[in-house]
Amino acid sequence: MKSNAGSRNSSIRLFDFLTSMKFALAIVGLIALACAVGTFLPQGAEVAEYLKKNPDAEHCLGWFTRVGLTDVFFSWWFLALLAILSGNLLVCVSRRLFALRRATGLSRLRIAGTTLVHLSLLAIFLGGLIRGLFAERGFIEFREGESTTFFSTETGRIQLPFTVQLVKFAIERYPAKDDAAQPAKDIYPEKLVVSWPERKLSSVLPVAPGAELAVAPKSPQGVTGESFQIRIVRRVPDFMIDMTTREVTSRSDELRNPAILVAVSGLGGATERWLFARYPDFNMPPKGASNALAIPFDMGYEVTVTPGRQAPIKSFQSTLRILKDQTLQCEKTIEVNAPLAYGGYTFYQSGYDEHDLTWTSLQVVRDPGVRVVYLGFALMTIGLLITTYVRANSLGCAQQ
Amino acid sequence: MTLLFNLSLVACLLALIVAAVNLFVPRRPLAGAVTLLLTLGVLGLTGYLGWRWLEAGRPPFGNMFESLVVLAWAVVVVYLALRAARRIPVLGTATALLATLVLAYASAFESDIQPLMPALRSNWLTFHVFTCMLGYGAFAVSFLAAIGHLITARTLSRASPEVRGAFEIITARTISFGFLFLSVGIITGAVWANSAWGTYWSWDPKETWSLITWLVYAIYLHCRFMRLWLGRRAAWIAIIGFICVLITYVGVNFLMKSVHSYAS
Ligand code: HEM
Repeated sequence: MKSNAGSRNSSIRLFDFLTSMKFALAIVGLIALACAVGTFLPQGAEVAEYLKKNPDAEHCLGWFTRVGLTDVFFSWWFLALLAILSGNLLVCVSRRLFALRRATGLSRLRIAGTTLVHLSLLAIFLGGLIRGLFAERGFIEFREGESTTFFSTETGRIQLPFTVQLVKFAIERYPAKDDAAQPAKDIYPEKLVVSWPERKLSSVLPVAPGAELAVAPKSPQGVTGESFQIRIVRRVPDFMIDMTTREVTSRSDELRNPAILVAVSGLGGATERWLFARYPDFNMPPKGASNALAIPFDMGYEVTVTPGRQAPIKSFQSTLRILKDQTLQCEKTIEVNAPLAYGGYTFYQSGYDEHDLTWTSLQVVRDPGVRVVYLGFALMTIGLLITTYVRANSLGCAQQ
Repeated sequence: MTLLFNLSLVACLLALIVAAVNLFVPRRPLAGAVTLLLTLGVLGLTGYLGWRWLEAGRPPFGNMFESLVVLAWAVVVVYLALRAARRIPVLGTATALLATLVLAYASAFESDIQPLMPALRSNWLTFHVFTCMLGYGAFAVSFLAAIGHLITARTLSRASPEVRGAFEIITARTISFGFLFLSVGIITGAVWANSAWGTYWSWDPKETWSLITWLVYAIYLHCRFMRLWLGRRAAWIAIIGFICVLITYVGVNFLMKSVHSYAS
């Protein structure tokens, strides 16, 4: 009997210790320490990058990884610390609620305040747990006019219970600077640079279809030699070639893969080549070109940028439509900081392509835990207002 | 209008000099002058921030320069708001020194009014920066008071027990106040992140360090107000807390990659 009572006594004492504030504070301290470690060691995806730069760290990091130090915030022991803290809080909050009934006046307010603060922590943990278990996160990329019924994630795609359509994408800029010396928009001067250093040949031809240049490089002895005729036959801003017909077209009007077709003729014959601004070391004969002439000099197609006085971007906006069974459910223009929420999914403006302004990317999130977390935020704010008020008063008393 | 900023800096510097002289004069006749100069400094900064607000058409909380000005403003406001603090001459000197240093450091940053990038265009930014800076300002004063406490708590110190008690109460009060603002600052930051990026928390180094700071001050509040650890031990927690504030506010920018790097 006696030993039984003793063991019950000690288990009560153990319970008291595990639910005490001291123990709780020790756990809080450990969590803080773990967080600090997590910001100093490379975490998650950073590990591979770090190893590339510091190959010697392999051994050490391998050891860290085994105990979860390279993924602190999602390691089993970090989650266990949070779970212990939650259990502890749950008991503390319940105890406080009993005390609340007996308390009066300012002390009642104080207990109500601290109860709210501790409850709010539980709500935030719960919301985080819901996020970890149920949240979906991915992205959509599409052009003006396109629509989709799913979004992509890192591992696959998720079906949406409705259709999302991109009606319009627009970029808004701040007012431009008043600087007449700069052009209004970015301009891209293009030129063909012809060079043959040994023969002191270097010429520049501004690019325009039909532009011509005649060169007559001197031989090393200073005698004017053979002359060549260089002509720009065609220019495409966004080079694309059909591999079977070898037909060249331009994919868009943007300068994404600018290329020019240059014809060179001399005494020895004539030839044509495609030159590419993005790939200076590569050139290509066009369909059915004669290759009668070997070109003895270098030709480079260069596109530079002269930045305009275009001001920085103020916002980018996508006008979205949600459709269900062919009927319009809602339409909203979203921008960064102003997402669209519909049917449990939230669509965030996330990216765009500077070279193709009809294209945009959205982030898609479904996180049923957010409401719970926000409830926690509200409770915490109210609770802290109360405890701070009460403390300010009681401190005033202590001072007198 | 940079003139107003410079005048405020001069006011803080003068307050520092007067306060330092005051320390060596019996019965501290210049205490009123220190308070007056610091008040002028705060008014100047208020006017300067107001002007920037009008000029930019948005709250002046967009970059490192602006946040430092708000920080200096907050430090002095918290000090002036505490009557108990104004009774301790050393604290006035330390506050003037801190404000001067923060403003001087601010001058090293780009002070042109720049347009905000899309992610920063949010009302939450205003609340976030303002509450965080007010919290940091309160923590800065608590740090000064905690150091005062530790120095006067030594047995050899000639300071009276009342002064030590005052230091302790100022520490506790400013942390109590700062904790409220830091909490609201973290919450508004989370809500803002959720509206801009679809996630309220991503374990970014700056976020994580603000959480560490918050946890350390939570430990302080429990120890101090539940009478677990009082006196010097509590003062040490206050000092560790402020070191965490410094890491969160400036350290992270230099040491780690962070989405908050707009600040650098
Ligand atoms: C990160 C975690 C925590 C935070 C931010 C927090 C916050 C607070 C705050 C602000 C107060 C008010 C202090 C005052 O009245 O002056 C408080 C009081 C208190 N906390 Fe916590 N707390 C946390 C964790 C815990 C845990 C895990 C326990 C469990 C034992 C606990 C037990 C208490 C108790 C017993 C009080 C005093 C209640 C009262 O005065 O009515 N706290 N806490």
